[in-house]
Parts: sequence; C-alpha cells; structure tokens
Amino acid sequence: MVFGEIVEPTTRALILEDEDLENLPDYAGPVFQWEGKPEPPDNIETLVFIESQKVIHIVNTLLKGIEPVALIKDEGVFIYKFNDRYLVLFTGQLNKLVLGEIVEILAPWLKKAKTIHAITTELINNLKPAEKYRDVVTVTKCLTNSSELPYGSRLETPNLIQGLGATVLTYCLCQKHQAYLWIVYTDHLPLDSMNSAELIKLLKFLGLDIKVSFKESPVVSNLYM
Amino acid sequence: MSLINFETPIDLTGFTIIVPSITVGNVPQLTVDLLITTLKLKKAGILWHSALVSSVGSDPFNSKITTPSTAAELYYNSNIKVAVIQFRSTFNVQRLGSFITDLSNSFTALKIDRVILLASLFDYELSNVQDKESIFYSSSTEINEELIENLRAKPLQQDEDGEVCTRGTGFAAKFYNILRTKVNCMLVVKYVSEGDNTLDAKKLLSQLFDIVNIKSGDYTVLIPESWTQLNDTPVLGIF
Repeated sequence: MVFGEIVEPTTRALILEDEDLENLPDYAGPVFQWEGKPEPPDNIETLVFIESQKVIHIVNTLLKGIEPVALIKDEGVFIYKFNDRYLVLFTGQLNKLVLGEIVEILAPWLKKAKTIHAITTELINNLKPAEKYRDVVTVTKCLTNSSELPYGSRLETPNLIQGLGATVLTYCLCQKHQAYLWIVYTDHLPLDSMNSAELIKLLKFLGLDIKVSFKESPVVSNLYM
Repeated sequence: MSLINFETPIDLTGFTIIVPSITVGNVPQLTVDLLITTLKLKKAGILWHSALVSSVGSDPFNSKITTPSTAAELYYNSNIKVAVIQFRSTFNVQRLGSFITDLSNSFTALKIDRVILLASLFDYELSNVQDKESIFYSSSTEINEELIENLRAKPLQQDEDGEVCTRGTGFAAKFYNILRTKVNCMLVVKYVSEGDNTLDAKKLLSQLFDIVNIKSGDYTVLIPESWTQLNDTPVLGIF
C-alpha cells in the first residue's frame, strides 16, 4: 500500500453505484458490422473459441497465411477455417463489450456445431485450493455439461471463470447444447517450454496440431531449455 | 432466448421469490447460499441476459454434481413455495434497465405472489450504532406489527411518492420502486461491516425465515461446500 492510498473494500468493485443507476439508458440493440460470410456452413464438426493473449499467440502461428472466413472487426471477433475445424478468435477488450450480445450474434454458428470448445487462460496463483497447487507451474481444468471428461480434470469450487468462454458455456447450458470450457492455469511470465506445455498439449488434443514436442528436461528450471 | 431457461417446466404460481442485490460484503448472496443449502432448494433453471456478466464454476453446493454453475440461477422448493435467484457476478450497467424490466415482467408472467429483495449497506453510515441489529425495510403492503417488533424492523426513508430513496443498495431500490406497483414486494436492508460476513448472513437468514414465515426450528443451518475456501488462511510462516 502506498502512503495516502485509499483501500476500497473488496466488494466495492462489484457494487453498482447510484450515480450509474440514476439514468439507465434505454436499451438499443447492438449493431455488428460483419465482414466476409456471417452465415455458418451447414455442418460444423468442431467449433473452438479462443481468447486470452497466450492462446491467441500460439494459434496465430497455425493460422499464418489463412484469411478469416468472417469477422466483426470492431468487436475483435475473427472466424477461421482450419482443416475441418472452425476457430473463433476473440481479441476484443472485455471491459468495453457486452459479451452476451456477441455470443447471441454467434448463436447460428453454435447451433450448427456438433462439438463446442472454448479455451482460456488464468493465473495459476488464482487457482484454489492454493495448498494443492503451490508447486504447480501449469495445469488444465475443464468445465462442461458432458458427463464424460476426455482430458484434464474438472475445475474445483470456488474458482470462477469469466470472459467469452464463460459466456459461450452459459449460452450452451441454457440451450442444453454440449460444450467444454478449457482453462489452462499458468504463470504470468512470457511463454516458455514449461508454462506453455499444457497449452500445446491441449491444442493438440483438440486437433490443432502444433509442430513442437516436449521432453523432460534434466534441469528443473525454465532458464535453460 | 428467454430470460429464465428452466431445466424442466415448473409452476411458480403463488411462490415467494427472494432476490439478492450485490452489495456490501456480499451479505445478500451469502444469505441466499445458506437458504439454498438449509432448505435443500433444487436448481430450476439458468438466467440468460446480456446485462449479466457471465461467470462459470463448479457446483458450489455439491462437488459430486458435474454440471457447471452460472452467474444467475433460479432455485426452488415446491413444498414451502419458496424460490430464490442467486447472482454470482455483476451486471453491465448499460443493459441493467432492460434486465430489471424483463425480470419484473417474468415475475408477473410466472404469477409470483411476493418478491423479497435483499441488500446490505455500510454500517458506518448509521447514525445510531444500535440500529445494526435491526433490519430496515420497505413494503408495498402492510406488514404485521408483531413481525416488525420481533425483527426490530425500521422503515427505510421514502420520498413523497412512496419511492425508496436509500442510496447504496445496488439495483435493489431501483427494482423495488419498479416492482411495488406490480406485485407484492418488500425490500430488506441490513447494515454491516465488510470482512468475514458469514455471521451477518446467518443473522439475515434467521430474520428472513421470520419474514417468509418459515419455522427456523424445523431446519438446521447448513454451510455450503464452497464456503470452505471462502477466506484464505493467512500465511503464518512470514510472521
């Protein structure tokens, strides 16, 4: 704490202020400017939503030279076809956008998809129970309405996830549509062979074949690779 | 998509529904957590609205349930005709007006008998510290004198039109002012300090039982599983 700093109570950040509530704006529906083909193809085998800088950074290496089939530039939504999969990259700023509206505009794509995945990252320090993950560098957790879990382990309470992936999963739960939200917990450091290992394994599992492989390093550090 | 997406169709005619507002120390949400666990309420459905900031996690009440929990869910118990909405996230303020209108219309369409809105305020705003043990209320209908005495309940400040003008109750006061002309509704406010607010929630639960006319002696207050991780234990090694 810096001298003179005012420390607000923790719930203050979430409480709606009266000034904001005094003149609630009349609701005007969103206007999204699509480019490309906004209509989804009839049969989408797998639709993968990708958010968070780290995942986008890796996935962009796969998408070199591939143009998006559809995009909403202002909201940072880019849809790519990659082999038999469709990838939705989200680069928008969360605090400026109403994610529920973005998911609603993408609803036709969700309805046509047989399997829906979303990938996001979170800081490993935020993962609870803290004592269980104290020495873990990276781990994959999942939230899904499927009774089967083909990879990783389920996220424990009281961890909560927000963002586009969370909104996609909520929408699918409401629609009784099967979906998986994959959360890769990792540190805040730039990507290296240790903290990106889980992420690359997950992408490979989802059929996004990245041409790297990892083997156990004799040195228990990510300083030398 | 509709606002409330039911898992299976449920008739909520004549139900009392409890709605927490996101306010100081999350006391209303903690109270609703206790209410769901203690009365063994079942999940009825999920709320979807662009005003809700989505938030997903594992089931906070039973770790064996694999279906994720979401930002806003409806729970109910048909025997005692009580339903609650639990919020686990905040709102997009730009869309809140339409959410309040839609939720109000849903309550009317579902033929809900009574709505109870819960909120908490900072107790340092009280001019008399002894009022901390009281609850403050506003009701669209007359409240039983005996109940007011038992709860040591005091009326909230209202303007000449009968609208609640207490500030800091999140969306509760605004929602109450819209609802009071449509359905039987009550706004209940508790003054608390921020910190470990589990005791405030237990107190508010007991007061809520009296308001909803549930015999608290019939139930043992049960703590939700997720509360075991509510407050991190301090790292003792550094002291």
